[in-house]
Amino acid sequence: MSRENVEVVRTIYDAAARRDSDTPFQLYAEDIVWDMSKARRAVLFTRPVYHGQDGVRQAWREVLSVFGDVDFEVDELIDLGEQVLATLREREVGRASGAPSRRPTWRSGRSPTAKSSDCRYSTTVSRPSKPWLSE
Amino acid sequence: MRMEIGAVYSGIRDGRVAILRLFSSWSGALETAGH
Repeated sequence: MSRENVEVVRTIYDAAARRDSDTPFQLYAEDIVWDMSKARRAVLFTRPVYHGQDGVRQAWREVLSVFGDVDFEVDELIDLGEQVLATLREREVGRASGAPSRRPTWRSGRSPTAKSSDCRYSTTVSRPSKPWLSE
Repeated sequence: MRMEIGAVYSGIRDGRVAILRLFSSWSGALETAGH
């Protein structure tokens, strides 16, 4: 089952890379929990945890109201059994200034038990006319 | 400058993700995932 889980996550990122904003929501449960409480970027949001697909849309609206673009590159999708870890590199571009954010990069080791799958591509999420990001 | 972040997807049932947790580091995500 874990291999299928990795494919679900891969499909989400593949869709994002194509700027397809419909497919990810087909792969999110209606009552999805989007938990950013352990992320430093949580300070940018009005709440640490969002619930449901509408919550995810709201979270994206909030981040894109601050940043004109959120550009991310998928480094690996790692099969952790019942879970999938996506390691990403993200760069945010200031909405007003257009300047890349200057946050520090945190380096870390990787679990020797993790199984990685080849996955390297990048995409940019910006504030477009997509319905799911509109007000 | 690119910032490393980790995203843990869990509770995947019938091809749909129930929980997505974001972390400010890959190691934090791995630790939370129990690895």
